[in-house]
Amino acid sequence: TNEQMSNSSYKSLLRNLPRVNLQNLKANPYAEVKHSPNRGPHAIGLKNGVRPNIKPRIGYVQDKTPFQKRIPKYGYNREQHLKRQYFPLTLWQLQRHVDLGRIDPTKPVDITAISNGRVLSMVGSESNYYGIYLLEQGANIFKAKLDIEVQIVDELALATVEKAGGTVSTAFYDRRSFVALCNPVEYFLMGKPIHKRLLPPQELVTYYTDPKVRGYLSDPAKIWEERMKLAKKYGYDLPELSEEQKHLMVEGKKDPRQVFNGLMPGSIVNLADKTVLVPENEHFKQHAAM
Amino acid sequence: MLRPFLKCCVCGRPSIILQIANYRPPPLHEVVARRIEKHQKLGKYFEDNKTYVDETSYFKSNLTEKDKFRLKRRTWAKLGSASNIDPASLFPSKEEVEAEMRAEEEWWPTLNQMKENLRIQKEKKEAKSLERSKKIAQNMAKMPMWIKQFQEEQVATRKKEQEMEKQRGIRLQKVQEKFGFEISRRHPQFVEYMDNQKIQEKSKKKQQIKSQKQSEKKV
Repeated sequence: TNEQMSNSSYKSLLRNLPRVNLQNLKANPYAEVKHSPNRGPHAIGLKNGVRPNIKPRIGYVQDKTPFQKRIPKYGYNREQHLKRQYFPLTLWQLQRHVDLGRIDPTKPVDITAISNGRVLSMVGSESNYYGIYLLEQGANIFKAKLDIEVQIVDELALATVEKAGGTVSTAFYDRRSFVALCNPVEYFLMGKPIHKRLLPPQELVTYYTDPKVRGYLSDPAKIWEERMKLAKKYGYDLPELSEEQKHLMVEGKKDPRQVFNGLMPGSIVNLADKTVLVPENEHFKQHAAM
Repeated sequence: MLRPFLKCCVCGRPSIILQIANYRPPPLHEVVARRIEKHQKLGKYFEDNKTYVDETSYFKSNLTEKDKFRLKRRTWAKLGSASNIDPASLFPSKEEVEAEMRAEEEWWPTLNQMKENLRIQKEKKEAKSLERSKKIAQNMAKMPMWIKQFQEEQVATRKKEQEMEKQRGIRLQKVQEKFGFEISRRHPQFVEYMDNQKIQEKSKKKQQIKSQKQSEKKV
């Protein structure tokens, strides 16, 4: 026992025990053995009496650090994986698809309407796309009356849509909600509760709070002023909006944290039963209202 | 010029060398037969050694609870009430929702917070630019004075240079008179002479200082 064993006996035991040496060290069972890659050409042996003419691999420089390591990278593609990209959509394209009947001008046009009408092939699940960029090409022929929601808009494109009697609003969607809007059926078939849309990142807050581009976070009273200003700038009379359009601009606006209009975040949609399950517990409502 | 007669690289004899694409793709039935044979061999190997594992059962048994839950959700979404799944079990629990709320508070800034941050950024930028413009205005007020100073300095330096050049010419003349012929400044004799003179001047200066100190002590 411990009491019987004196201090000196422990020491003697320690002295006699085997030590860790290079001889008795061993790798763990199933440990990976990493071989260093062979550098340079290694043409070993003769083939048909001739030494095979094996050349070094591309980028190999003998007895030197290779070019790609010696010279530092340029910063052109720095943080390219973080850059937000947008699908370009021209007014010409929009007018064409309205004429063909692929876009319904009586209903508000958004990402879902554009992807369902096959105006743009917005797959982009692996890429870094965040929505649609409305361009001014075809402003001279555009006549459709549309209530459209895009992510970025040109000034002339905005003026032409408003001149024709339509409305424009710019809104931010994060990647997850953008993919959901591109193909809502696939999203609902996962059977998950609908997630909350994220607010725009800090660098985009200035854009989406700007009434000049009809940002969805801006004051609706200021948007009316800006509409008048833009009409004065380009020299056209603003046509009167219908009551539905006015309702869509102020009261019927989508909540900035909502992905789908009229669907509370946290609820589950079932396409087979054609039902929407809305949770009634208070913590769900708190989370939705946050 | 074309040279069809070249030396053979193996035997060294001159011969005509024509490059011909000599790849013969193996006929398909041969390939198929070889692959079937290979598979049969593999099957025999697995039967003998009994290392074959039923992959489907392995993957099914390895489903985690998360995977099972996902499957449940998808079946309910696909079939609806016909799937006999209680939809109440598909919603997250209270603890999960509360944890998400806490995470949102911790990680995602609110809109007002972001606006405040932007305002502070803008103010800082404006203050910096204002400071810079102030500094520019102050320095521009001093500009005519600085220009005058600069011009005066330039005139003074030019005068100094001219004087130095004059003195150098006089010194050269003196040395040339001493040697009796025209001598360049790089000539070793000239350099030696100038070094000697420098040493003499130094010693003279030292003696002057000494004599001054002695006279001060006496007074």
